[in-house]
Amino acid sequence: MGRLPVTTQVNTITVDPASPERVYVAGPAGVFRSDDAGQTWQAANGGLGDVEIVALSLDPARQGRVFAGAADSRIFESLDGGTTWGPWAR
Amino acid sequence: MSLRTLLFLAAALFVALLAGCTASGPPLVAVADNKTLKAISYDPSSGSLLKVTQGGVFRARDAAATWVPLPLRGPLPLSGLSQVAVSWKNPEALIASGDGAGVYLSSDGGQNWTAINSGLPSKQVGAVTAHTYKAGTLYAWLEDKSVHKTEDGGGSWKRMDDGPPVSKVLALAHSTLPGSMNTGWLYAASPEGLYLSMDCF
Repeated sequence: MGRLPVTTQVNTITVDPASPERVYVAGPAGVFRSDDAGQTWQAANGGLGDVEIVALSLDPARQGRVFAGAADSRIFESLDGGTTWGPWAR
Repeated sequence: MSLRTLLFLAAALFVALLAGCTASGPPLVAVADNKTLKAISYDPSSGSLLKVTQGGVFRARDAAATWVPLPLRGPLPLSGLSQVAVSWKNPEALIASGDGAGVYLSSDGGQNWTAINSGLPSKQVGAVTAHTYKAGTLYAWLEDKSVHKTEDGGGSWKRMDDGPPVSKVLALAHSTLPGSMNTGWLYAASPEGLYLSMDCF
C-alpha cells in the first residue's frame, strides 16, 4: 500500500461514491477533505470546535451531506462538504 | 469495630445476598450502553444512521428519534463490536465486526445476523468495508496485519496482502477512483497516517 501525504493519526475515512476523488478523514487534528483523492487536504471543521471525531459516513445520494460521530456519541451533520457542521442528534 | 459486630454484619450481608438470589422478579437484562461511539454508517434505504458503541449496534431514523438497539438474533454479540458498514450496492446488507468478535452479516437490514468468518485465520478483525458496487465483496483487516477479501458475502475469505506497514488499521474504505488495474482502490486509515492500494493488491 502506498502512503498518502497524511502522516498524523487518521481515525476514520469515508469516500464519496459519486465523486471518488472526494475523501473525508478525521483524527485528533480534526476533519479534513480532499478533492483530489488524498493528494491535498483542506480543514473541514467549521462548527465542530475541538471535538475529536472518531467516525464518519455520508449520504451517497446527496453530495456534500456528511455525518461525523464523536467518541461521546454526539453526531454532527454537514450539508456543504464539511465546511460547516451542526448537531444531528440530541 | 468488635468481632461480634463484624460477625453480625457478615451474617446480615449473607442473609441479604441469599434473599436477593432467591427473590422472584423480572430477569436481569443487560443495560445497553449507547455511548462511547466506535463507528457510524448512513443507511440510504431508510435515511437512518447506524452506530456501534460498547453496547451494540443502534439505529436512529432521524435526528429527533431515539437510538434503538438492533435485535440480537443470531450470534451477533452484545459487545465487542467496533465497526458497522452499509453496502451501497445493497443497503439491506449490513456488516459488523470487532476485534475478537469476527465479522457478521445481516441481509435484512439488521434483523438477523450470521457470522461470516469461514477462511479467516482469526476473529481479530480491526476494520471492514464493503465494495462500492459489487454486492458480496467485502474487505477485512486482521490484527495479525493481513488484508482479506470475500466475493461471496463472507462464504469464503482469501488472504490478499499484508496491508500497510502500520501498527493498526482503524478504518477501511473502498473507492472507484480511476487508474486501478482491478475494480478500484482501498484506503486504510491508521495511527501512522493514510494509505492507498489497488483493490487487487
